Amino acid sequence: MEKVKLRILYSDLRPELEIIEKELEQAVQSSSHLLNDASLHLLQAGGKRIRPVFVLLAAKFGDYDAATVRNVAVPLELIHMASLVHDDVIDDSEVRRGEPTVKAQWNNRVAMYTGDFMFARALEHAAAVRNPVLHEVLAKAIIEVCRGEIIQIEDKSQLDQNLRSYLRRIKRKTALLISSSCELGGLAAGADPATVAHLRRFGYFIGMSFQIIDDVLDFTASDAELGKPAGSDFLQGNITLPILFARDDEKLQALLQRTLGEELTDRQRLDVVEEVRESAGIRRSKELSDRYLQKALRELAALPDIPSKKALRDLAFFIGKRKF
Amino acid sequence: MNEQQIDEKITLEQVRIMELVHHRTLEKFTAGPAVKRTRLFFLLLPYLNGEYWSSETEASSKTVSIVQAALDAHEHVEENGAANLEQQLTVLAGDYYSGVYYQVLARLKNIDLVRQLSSAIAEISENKASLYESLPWRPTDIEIAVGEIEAGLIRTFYEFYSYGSYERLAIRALSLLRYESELELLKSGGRSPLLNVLAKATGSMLTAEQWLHEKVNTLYSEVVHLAKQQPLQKELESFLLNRVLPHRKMEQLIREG
Repeated sequence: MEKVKLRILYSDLRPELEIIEKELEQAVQSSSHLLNDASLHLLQAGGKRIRPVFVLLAAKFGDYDAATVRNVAVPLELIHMASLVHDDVIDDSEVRRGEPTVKAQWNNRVAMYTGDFMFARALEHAAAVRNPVLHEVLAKAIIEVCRGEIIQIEDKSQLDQNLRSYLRRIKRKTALLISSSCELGGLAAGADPATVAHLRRFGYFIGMSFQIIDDVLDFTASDAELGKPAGSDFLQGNITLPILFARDDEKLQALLQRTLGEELTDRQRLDVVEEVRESAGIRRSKELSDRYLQKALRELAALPDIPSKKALRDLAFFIGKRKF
Repeated sequence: MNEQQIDEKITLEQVRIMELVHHRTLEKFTAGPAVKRTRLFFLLLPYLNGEYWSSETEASSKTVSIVQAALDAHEHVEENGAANLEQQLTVLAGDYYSGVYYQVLARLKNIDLVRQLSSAIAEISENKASLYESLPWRPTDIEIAVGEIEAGLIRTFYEFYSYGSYERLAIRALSLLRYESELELLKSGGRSPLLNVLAKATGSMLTAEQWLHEKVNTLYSEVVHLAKQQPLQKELESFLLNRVLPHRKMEQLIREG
């Protein structure tokens, strides 16, 4: 159902997204069969392609030039994918989107080379854009994503962390790349500075909402819907928003403390997931996500009324309400 | 430039690069960025030999070392190791250094070098990955792959700034150093993807060892010849043979009696 919704949302962009899909495939073509297989395997496993979509929609607020916009959209998706391959090594993940990860299918080292290769291809592609400002924005986003990931590792298994730490982490880990997608779309199309600023802030708020919902879904969606075991974040020691809110319940806090960082059986894992799912943590997380969604919509309201604005609004609602 | 000045320039370069990629957590929990003096020597070789070297070249040269540090960090990720803190942060260290190199070049508005270095990184990654493939390897293919893995970034930098005449020397010397370390590993009973493909290409680990011995000797003679042919300034040549490749020189002297 969610995939159908997404397809409908993307319907106006389909021709452009098909070209992007082809460019992504071309970009990862390699003389190494192994890298070719690993990259294509990742590409064909799908994904929401929300970063390219945000670039395309944001670019409609300026002088839309398809080739230039693609030169921004393709690298952003490749950078995101490269980070996923490396994340799977960090998290020791065997499955992503229901498929074996690169590290599971080959090994950690091959996953490193695949990520490095995709990242390099991303920058090679991006280099077609001559405006240095775009490169500075993209470079900053890449560095911040890394900083966010480093902070996530530092904060691992610390049940006593505060809300501010969590928000700071997801800002860097997720929101900045989505924010940059919107900003870069606007910049690539030469949109005026005020419009670019609204787009950037819209992307930031949507990115925050997106990650919070992602963290909620880790508890509320099924293993099959997620394409990985539910509660994976908790198993890896990542303290996400539902946990931060859920720990206010003393009984639940005791369970979390007992199980955090332990090797859990499937039954134990599902018990934790069930308890968190039933807690106020999910409701409160969704409320916070909604607040970010509302902030995003306020940014959108300041933008000119063009068809893209409605598309961004629909996409924002989809992200805020998605089921997996 | 005398040997001490060369040494000081390399140290200064090393310090400046470390400053650019400084990150408290990464330094605390990982081995930190590998900014090898040997590589710096080759990167700075045109400058040390008196070639024109602008402030832009100086700044760009640092990004080559940062990229190398990024790739080297990922070489420290174990093939099948458990995801412990150090390993996790080593993955991120490589990614972080890659971001820094891009940011430095973006600020310098040197997007052409971003493209060239990215292309080299992609090629290096392809060559590294190919060592894990079941290919009909021949020793000559291995030599090409090793040359690219070890010197691909420096070669790109040389070509970008028209220092192409130093290319062969750097490729030979850096390949020589790689073969030497593989030989050491083999002698200590270790194995690596490169040793595995060498054994396949030559017939066995024993023949791989012989091949490596011969290769380091041939390459050393070639490096000595290229250093004279370049020509390198006397102090530089001496620095290369006595400080960068001292072990090989000793072996050569012993062999020559």
